[in-house]
Amino acid sequence: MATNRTGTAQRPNGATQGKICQFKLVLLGESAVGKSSLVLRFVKGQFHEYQESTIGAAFLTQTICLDDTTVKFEIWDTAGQERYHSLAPMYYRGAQAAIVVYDITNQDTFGRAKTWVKELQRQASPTIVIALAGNKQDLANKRMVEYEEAQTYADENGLLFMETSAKTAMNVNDIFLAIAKKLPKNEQTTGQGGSAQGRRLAEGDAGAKTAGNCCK
Amino acid sequence: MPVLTLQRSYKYIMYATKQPSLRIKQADLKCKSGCGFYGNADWEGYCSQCYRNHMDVERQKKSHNSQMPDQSRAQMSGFTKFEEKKRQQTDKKNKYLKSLPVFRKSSNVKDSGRPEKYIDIMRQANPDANKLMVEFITQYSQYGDIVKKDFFKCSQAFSNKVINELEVKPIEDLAETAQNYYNLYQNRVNSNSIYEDVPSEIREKLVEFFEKYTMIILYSFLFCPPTTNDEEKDLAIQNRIRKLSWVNAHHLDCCISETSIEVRDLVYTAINDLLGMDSMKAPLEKLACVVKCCRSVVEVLQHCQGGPVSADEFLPALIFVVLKANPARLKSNILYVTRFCKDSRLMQGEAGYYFTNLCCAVSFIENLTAESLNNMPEQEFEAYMSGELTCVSAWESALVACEGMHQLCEHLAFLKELSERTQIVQNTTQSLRDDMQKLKEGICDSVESVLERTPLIIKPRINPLTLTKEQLFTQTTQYGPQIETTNEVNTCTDTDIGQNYYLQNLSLTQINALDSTKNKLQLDITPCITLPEISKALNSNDFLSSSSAVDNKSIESITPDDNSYLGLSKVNYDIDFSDLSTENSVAEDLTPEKRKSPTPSFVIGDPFSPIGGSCPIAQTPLVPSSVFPQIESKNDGFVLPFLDDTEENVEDSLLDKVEVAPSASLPAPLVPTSSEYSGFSKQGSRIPNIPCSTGDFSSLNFAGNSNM
Repeated sequence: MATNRTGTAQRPNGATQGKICQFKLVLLGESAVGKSSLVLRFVKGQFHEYQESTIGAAFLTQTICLDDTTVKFEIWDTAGQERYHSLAPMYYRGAQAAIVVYDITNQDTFGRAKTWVKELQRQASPTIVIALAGNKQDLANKRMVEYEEAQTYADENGLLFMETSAKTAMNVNDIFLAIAKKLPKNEQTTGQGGSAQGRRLAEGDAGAKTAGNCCK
Repeated sequence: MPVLTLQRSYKYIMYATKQPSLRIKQADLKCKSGCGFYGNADWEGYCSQCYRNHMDVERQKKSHNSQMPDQSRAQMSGFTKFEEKKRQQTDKKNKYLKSLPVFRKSSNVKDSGRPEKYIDIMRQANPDANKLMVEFITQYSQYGDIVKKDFFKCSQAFSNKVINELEVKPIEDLAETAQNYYNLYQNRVNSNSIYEDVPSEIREKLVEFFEKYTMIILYSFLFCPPTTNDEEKDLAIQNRIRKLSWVNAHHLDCCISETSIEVRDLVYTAINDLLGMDSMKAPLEKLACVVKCCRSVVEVLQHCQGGPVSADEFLPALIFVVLKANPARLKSNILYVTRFCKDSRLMQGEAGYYFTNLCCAVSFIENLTAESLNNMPEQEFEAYMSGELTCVSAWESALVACEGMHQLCEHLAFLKELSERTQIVQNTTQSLRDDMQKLKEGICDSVESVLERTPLIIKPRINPLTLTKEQLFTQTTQYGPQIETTNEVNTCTDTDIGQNYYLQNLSLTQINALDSTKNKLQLDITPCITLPEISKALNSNDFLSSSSAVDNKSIESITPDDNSYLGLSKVNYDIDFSDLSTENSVAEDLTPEKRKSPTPSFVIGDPFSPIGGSCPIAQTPLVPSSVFPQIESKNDGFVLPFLDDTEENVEDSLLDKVEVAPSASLPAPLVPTSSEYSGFSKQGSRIPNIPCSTGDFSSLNFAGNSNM
């Protein structure tokens, strides 16, 4: 179907051990739910007040090691305001993973998160790994979204679910690790700097097809 | 094939121009023909495949109707006359080109038999390409001629292919061809034996260089090609942005502070970077400009808000920058990059991310409504758009007005600042002047007051003395205790040199004064020195002690005599004895009573030193009253016999030597009191009596009374 093409095009033929996999991960969620704090915590181990001065938090990369594979996350932050909602498809185009973030102290953000999930399932790559993150777990005493409610929703929709806290770093690395584990590494192309083998295969595949189709 | 077309169509979702609602509904995205794939407004709502079919049908129809069958791709509903004319011109050009044998020849990818003429044309048109060729030779010639030859062979094949297909295929197909060639060349670099010796990093660079080189050659053909309506889109977005010039940072919920000069400079940098995109030729270079611009925007935001810059803040800021920059041929540039930059570069990496943001910004601007501007009321939005309302901000005046106006504003601000500074300087100058005036007056006043005071001092010489006495009084009271315990002058000097010094000075001055006016001094001092401490302190000063002694006993008795000189000499003796015999504290306590009944003091004093020393003190003052005249005459003679030690003291300098003397005399008097007193007896006939009555108050009292 329509959403298939990205996945198929990027799938290389072979899986290699000890390889580097690069994934594009999109952050979705209402503004002020802590998307960028979450990423900063993951990438720099920092909460926002200690942010170094020269780097934006909108685009970040982080590499983690998983067994014999090096997983490189390329994290794309998105603007969470309602008015930019319609632009989101441009961001999650070609993304292999998405984290939908909501604020456990705000029921509305959970509602928005559900909308995002629905949209991702409908429009993004069918192989996309979606994780639901209930952020601001450190403010659990002001909780408005019950853990069970979110867990149930996640189970129904086949999402990874964790309650996280960018402030205390709770579950931050875990959720990224869980995503990395769930991603189909053997089918994943490597990006720039990746092994030449995987790349060549991937692009050779695509190139051969296009050549065959368009250039007679 | 379907997969690929799907990819392309998916890619072009982002350039959908009509999005009236905030959300994209799924139905809006689907192909009009209902094939299930995504459609695109650029393709009249079809997916790429259906659009092509649709176009083929249209073309066939047209070919029947018109003589120019090949130019039916750009089917826009809203043709203006101008556009029609333009298109006709294009068609003519196409016709002309097609008539040339070169362009009719359908060459294969591998077909390198292109006409030399055409290469010449390309080279003439692209001096940049020549530059790049030189660059390539300098950078990569070390990998051998084969690499170089292969590189140019491939790039020429590619450019040739594109040019041959330029007029027969829609631009999207050419874009796909380009993508294919990029991939083919990359495969070739990675697998072909020609590139065996080239390191992997250089291979990456070669692939990039290939893209850059070929695109610079083909730029004039592929950028904003006449077969598309890119130019119209450029004009449309330019007009749109112009209409939206009133939108400020606040409308976008953007934290850029428009009035800050530093921020404005940073925004200018970002705008310049964005404007620079148009001057670049290769998609890679354009992309680099976008990245540069976006980094500047991040910098702006960091300057404005501090802390991390998330997409929530970044996107509005970028929209703001795009609105204020209104770059030339914005849409053409974006489409050109989208079409001819390698797909993977746009899908991932920092450049891809920022480029996506730029596309989002443009898309947002295209579909901007009142609702999306901070929920601005619809009427207000309309009013702004129609120009009824104008919104002038600092930013507008800075950007829209001419440079001269801008400079004028800045200079005015600068002048204002300068005038403020001048005011400050003037104020401070005035205050300084006032201060100086005050100081002058103050000095005058003080001088006058001093002048007023000084004559008083000079004329009645007594006055300063009384003053000094008072001071002396107070000070001595302070120091008294120390002196009390140590009756000896030596100890005084040890404990407090300063005090002694002071006392000495005082005494000296007083003595000096005494020399001149001895009588008066004596008088003055006596009333002041009521405290025994003073007497102690004054032990050093014979006359003082004497005065105290006199005081204690009976001032009245002395005062009438006014024979200070004698009194002094007497006092010396008195002090010596008093010190030796009795503690001053005792005397102190008794002071008030002394005048009337001096005897009790001695009564108390007795237990400490019953020696006759105490008695002489009591008596001496009493004695002099009556004896003064006698003593006066005896003065010198009196001293000498009394104590050898003290003799000199009295004569030379009362203070110093007397000080020493008592210490020496202290031990002495105790033992030889009797003998001494015998000597004393010479002085006053009654003195001998006193030793006898040392223990007895009655005798003293009696003597005192008798004296009185």
